[in-house]
Amino acid sequence: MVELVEVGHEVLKREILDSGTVIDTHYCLRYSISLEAAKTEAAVGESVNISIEVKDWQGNYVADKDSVTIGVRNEQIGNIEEEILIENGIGTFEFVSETPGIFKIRPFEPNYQKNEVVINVT
Amino acid sequence: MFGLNEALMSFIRRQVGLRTDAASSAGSLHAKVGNIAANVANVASKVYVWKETKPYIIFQSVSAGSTATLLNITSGSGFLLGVEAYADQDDDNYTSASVSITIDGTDKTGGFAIIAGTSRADRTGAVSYNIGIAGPLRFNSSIRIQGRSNNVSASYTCWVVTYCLD
Repeated sequence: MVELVEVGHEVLKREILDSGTVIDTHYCLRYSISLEAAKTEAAVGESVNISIEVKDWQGNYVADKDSVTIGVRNEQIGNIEEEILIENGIGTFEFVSETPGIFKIRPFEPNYQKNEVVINVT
Repeated sequence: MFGLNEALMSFIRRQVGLRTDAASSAGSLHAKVGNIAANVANVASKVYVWKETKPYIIFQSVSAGSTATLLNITSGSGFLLGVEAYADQDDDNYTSASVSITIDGTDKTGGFAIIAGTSRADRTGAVSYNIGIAGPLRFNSSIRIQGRSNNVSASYTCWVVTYCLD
């Protein structure tokens, strides 16, 4: 018998053998944070809207997380972290750079599945 | 009259003994044979029959800054054969992987121990190191292996766990 069970921040695949042995293995993280940029190319000083979605592994918005730490990384500027408020699993912020370069933006949240968006500012 | 035949019969009875003699290394021939049979059975019970085990291989990636239960077995016995990890090189940061192994309720790694990582904070000339853990390590009732990608601002780690069940 195989079933999926939520344990802490994980979803585990649980297999119960005929012998009674129980085998749990990692299936996925329970929650994810996804970023989506309105555009990936921007001019210096131009604002880019970035949306944040916090969902559980079944695609439902997570209501009990009220902020997400976002990291912006650039070779010249280094790392910048910013806390963004979230409401009912949805948030948004504006990215603006006064210097050209490649900026990598990702959530700095442990135990969340997450993605990265890259914006090229020229 | 106590003749040669009686003496010979007595000697044979004493040396060969009876089928009901208790197993003993110092008794009659029957007792010694019983003792050998008992020893053989004892040795056989301690020989692990690898060909009767069921092998398993787990491949798993772990997201940056996350901890994953790579394997958690309860009410089972077998051997952990190996744990290997690979840390992907991030563009701007070091990546490292730590493992925690608990066997039969006892922490064997002293919490999370680093077993893999990358040598630089950028891709130029970076190498990935991996010390891994090699078995076989016996578990009689339970085993739990957790893998962790240590740096939330770095990259993911990949894992391979091999084990067998009795």
